[in-house]
Amino acid sequence: MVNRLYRSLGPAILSFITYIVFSGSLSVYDVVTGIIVSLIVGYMVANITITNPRKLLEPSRLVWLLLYAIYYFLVAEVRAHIDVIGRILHPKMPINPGIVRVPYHVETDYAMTAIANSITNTPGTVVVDVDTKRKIFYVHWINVVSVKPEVAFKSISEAYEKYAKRVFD
Amino acid sequence: MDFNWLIVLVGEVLVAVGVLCDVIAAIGLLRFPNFYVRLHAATVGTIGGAFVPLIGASLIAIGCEFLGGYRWFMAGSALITAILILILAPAGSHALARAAYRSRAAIVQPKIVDHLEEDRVEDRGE
Amino acid sequence: MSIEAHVTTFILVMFPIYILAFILYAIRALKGPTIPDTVLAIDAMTYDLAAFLVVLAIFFRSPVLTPVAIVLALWVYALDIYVAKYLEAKEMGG
Repeated sequence: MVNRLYRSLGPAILSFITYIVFSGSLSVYDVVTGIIVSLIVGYMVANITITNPRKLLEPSRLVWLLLYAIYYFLVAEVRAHIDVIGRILHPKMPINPGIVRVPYHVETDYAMTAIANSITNTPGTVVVDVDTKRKIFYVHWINVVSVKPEVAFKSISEAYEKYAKRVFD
Repeated sequence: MDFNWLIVLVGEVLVAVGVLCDVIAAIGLLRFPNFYVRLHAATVGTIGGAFVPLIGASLIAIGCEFLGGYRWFMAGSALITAILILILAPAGSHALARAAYRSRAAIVQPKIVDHLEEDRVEDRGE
Repeated sequence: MSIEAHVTTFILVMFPIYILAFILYAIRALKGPTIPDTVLAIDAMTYDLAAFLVVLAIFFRSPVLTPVAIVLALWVYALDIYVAKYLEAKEMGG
């Protein structure tokens, strides 16, 4: 019971922030309703979302999450967008697509999801399937540089994995 | 006054970039040869074409004082929609790609290599 | 030039480009040789429509339009999952 309340703290804070940002006001009515609703929601989803609540309280993880976001939006996304836009507008359309194996080395489901979403959200690479036993993502790549899994890992997901490991694992 | 101009101009640049990404993604969807390659063009359309202009619209709404007290609500809901799209878009296209691959609804052609097919044949014990 | 006039002119310039993008998406959605192609085109189009609705809300000065964007994004995600389930079930049934 106490453990479940402790675990419900993370989702409750997240849903309270979402409520306040969405409603865009700090009136007493909104704050009181937000606290009540987010506590109920947090208690409801505590058992299915959080297994280790202590991870939420480590500030170093939040710093790494911020660095991850900055790197992802300002470097990785911009580079991938320019690459794919160039391929679309090029008169000869230089593509050599294929599905390659990309291994991953993280343990938790959250880290796996973060890496897979990061790969899919950058244009040029899409995760088609995942094999949790062999720990492999099958990635459709618009420009297959090499069919070796290690080279593909280096050029697709090494940077995401470095950050995701520190944030979620 | 100056701060409002700055934030509106930054938002307008983001919206303009998003609109350009939209048109380019639509052209890409028309030009690319098969479903899996079109997925990459669609990603340009969802991240560059929806996430970026939503952030830009949120900034414009903050800077526009003529919208009245509701502008914080507009800015906030645009921001939440942007973050939601960032989470939902990859999950949706991942589910679609996996289903299209498994049901053979779309064939991976042209291709250089297909490791997924090799491993699935191996798993069936052939 | 005030901010109000500037923003209104800017959004008016953006209008035709958005319409052009939607027409091109619609061509792919109507042509799309396979089911996933059609769904993918509708998918990308609806996410962009959500962004367009927020821009329209600023243009018409009506805050009522903004929550519609969130509903559109959620519905098109539901469409993705629904079609994916349908395709995979077809495979398992033989």
